[in-house]
Amino acid sequence: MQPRMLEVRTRILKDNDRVARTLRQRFDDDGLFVVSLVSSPGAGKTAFLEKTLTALRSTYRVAALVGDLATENDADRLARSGAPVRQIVTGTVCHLEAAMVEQALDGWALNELDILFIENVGNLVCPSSYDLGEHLRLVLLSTTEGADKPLKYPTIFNTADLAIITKSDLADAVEFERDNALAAIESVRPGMPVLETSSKTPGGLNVWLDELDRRLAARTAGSAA
Amino acid sequence: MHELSVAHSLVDVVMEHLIESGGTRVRSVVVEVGDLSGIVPTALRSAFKVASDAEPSLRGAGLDIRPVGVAIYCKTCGVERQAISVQSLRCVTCGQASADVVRGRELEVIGIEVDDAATHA
Repeated sequence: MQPRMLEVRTRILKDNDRVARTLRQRFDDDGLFVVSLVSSPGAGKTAFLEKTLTALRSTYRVAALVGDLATENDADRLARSGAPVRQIVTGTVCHLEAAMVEQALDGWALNELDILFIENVGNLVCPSSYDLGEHLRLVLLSTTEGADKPLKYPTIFNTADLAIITKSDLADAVEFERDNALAAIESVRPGMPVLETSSKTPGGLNVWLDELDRRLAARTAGSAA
Repeated sequence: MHELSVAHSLVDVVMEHLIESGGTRVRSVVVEVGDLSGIVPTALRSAFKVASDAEPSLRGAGLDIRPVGVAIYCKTCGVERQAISVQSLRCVTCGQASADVVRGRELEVIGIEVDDAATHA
């Protein structure tokens, strides 16, 4: 008997997609806005998030999940903001998956939160394939990295909604090629907004905090309409 | 290197279809991998060998990877067009930039070649 060919069309990551859809529905039902962060290791995700949590705490009920391969150091740093933080230690896995997020949220009263941040494992490749149920995906690029990084890792930039340039206070010292970086981002993800920030200077995150306010206001207006 | 995670998911998907089809063994699997899927075909091939080895009915199965180039919807041309490259999401015909990716994110199983029990009878 000849072998037969089954003609199918099935997404390989359908199980992750299903969990992500369920999560997104749950976040929507609970009125929670979820922001994820991806970047290379050392781009300043944790400092950016720590300052963001600290700044937002007076206005919003915020919390964070943070993925890391081996340590809980990032969660300890983020906890200094006073916001509730949970660590996801992924072991050998180089990215977060929706099921890990679901598990880490177990027992959290999400309806008592306004914004949840999910810090992915520092990696510009692997996290790109996995939907986590987030509403907004930030990709961070620091001025100390090469301006051509978006061209080297187009997929992760292409899956993001908003690019954040970090460590702007160091731009001159490291001769950051700003125009080239902006052109590279525009090339791999036409039209994506780019915000330039610093976690070290006073008001260095204002442009981002204002953008987040705008997005939350638009969301609230949308759900009320 | 998340290809191993993806390969395990691929094996799960193939096994579901095999069981549903009533077949006994998988000879080969055909997948579409988009240039913007975040997956490196050669790494997926190696990972699939490892992941499929753990399933007796999949052991030794071939993997046919069909790359899918990036296509965008070009507003200027009013149709779907190839993008210049993954680094440059512009229409190959007129150069218009577009974030509207219509192809290139695929990571899908499209065919599974199976043997039936009678083959071994």
